[in-house]
Amino acid sequence: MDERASEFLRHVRPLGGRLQAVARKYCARPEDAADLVQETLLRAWRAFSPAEGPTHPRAWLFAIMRNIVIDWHRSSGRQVSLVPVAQEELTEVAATNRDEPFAPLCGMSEEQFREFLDQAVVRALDALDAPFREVVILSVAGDLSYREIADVLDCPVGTVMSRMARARGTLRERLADFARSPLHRKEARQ
Amino acid sequence: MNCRELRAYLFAFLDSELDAALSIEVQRHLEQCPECAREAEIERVICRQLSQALHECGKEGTQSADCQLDEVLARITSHDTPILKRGLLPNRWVAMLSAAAVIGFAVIVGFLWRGEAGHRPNRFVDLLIADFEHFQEKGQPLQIASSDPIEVSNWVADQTTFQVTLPALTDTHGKLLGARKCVIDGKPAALAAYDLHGSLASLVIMPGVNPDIDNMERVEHQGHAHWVDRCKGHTVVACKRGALVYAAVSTLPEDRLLALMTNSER
Repeated sequence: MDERASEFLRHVRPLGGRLQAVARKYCARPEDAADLVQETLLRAWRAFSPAEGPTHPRAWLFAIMRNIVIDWHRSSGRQVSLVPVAQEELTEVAATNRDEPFAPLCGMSEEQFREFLDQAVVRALDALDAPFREVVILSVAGDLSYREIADVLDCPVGTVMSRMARARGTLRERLADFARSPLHRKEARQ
Repeated sequence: MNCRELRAYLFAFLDSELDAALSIEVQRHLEQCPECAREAEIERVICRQLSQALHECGKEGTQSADCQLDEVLARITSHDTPILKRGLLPNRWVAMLSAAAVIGFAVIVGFLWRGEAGHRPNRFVDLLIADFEHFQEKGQPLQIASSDPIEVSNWVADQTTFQVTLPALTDTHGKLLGARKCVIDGKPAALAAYDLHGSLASLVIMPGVNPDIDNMERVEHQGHAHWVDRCKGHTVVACKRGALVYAAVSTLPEDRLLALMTNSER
């Protein structure tokens, strides 16, 4: 294996699981997610130069992945379940409502709470609007810092921070809504 | 720090994104406030559970991450043109796309030839772009964070003695994020940061007229002379106001930066 290939593998190999986890949330079907990872790695390999090397390999790879998703969405050939937000929309969602109180989670015990989360946390995430869902996915599944997410989204770090705060606050409210819903109570009784 | 303030910082604290001083304040509050400590613990559990669920979800219906990665990496690092398992395009589409790519390439080369090939090195422009990139990459904190142009202009005047008028923007065009002091070419200057249409733009204000400004392209915009240059994917637009030079830098096109400069003339 030549030097370029081994250097590329050194950057990319540790990120395989994260790429796959984020791809699965961008795509509606597992097969498309697998293709997305493959296409991301292919484009990254073509652009990779060992002499320069990516300064932030994680942000670099996820930015490539996001651009592919945007291409796929535009060409309508693939089912994209999370549509990246266009630049123009960024300022509209940057506002944060930091004064909102935390929503309660119906006084569950710790055990009940963990059991409930198993069933509801991904559903609550999927219920978030795309711009908020994307920052949570890049942070939690991609393990990116706010700076790296800002690089991927090409926006200021402050925007990432405010979106993250709003996303996590809303996620908490969605969870509380699910906990209160009669359907969940019925499932819990069964 | 009170409970309300803590809520503004809690998520960034849990993600280890706060600076040391704020982290200590948040930590101190959590040690003293059982209610907030419980909220923080709930958030930690939600985040942990979500991370676990997303990584499990990533494996559904596919090979394990390591297997898939090894297979793909072996293929792409041994051949430059790997065959994707799925999504192969019909030949006529490949031909059409290739033709489009050749035309696109020719257009881009033509554009670059006109725009960048004729670019003359300009130390003033290089300094501004280097400062902008440094500010962007290092995520340097602003010394005053406010969207009020009068408040920020007053702060700049206090810190530098420059009597400046920072542009007031409507929400649809973007907003002022704040300002910090900086040094350009060894001289004290001020940098105001703007979020313009979701992209960062800096407006540097410095004393004295740099002779390199005259090597930039002169553009008349709404009755005022401006100087424009483009380099390394960045646009620089400068203008002279009395004893000061205002220079805006961004990856945005020049019309957006000219609009920003025009706003500061009002």
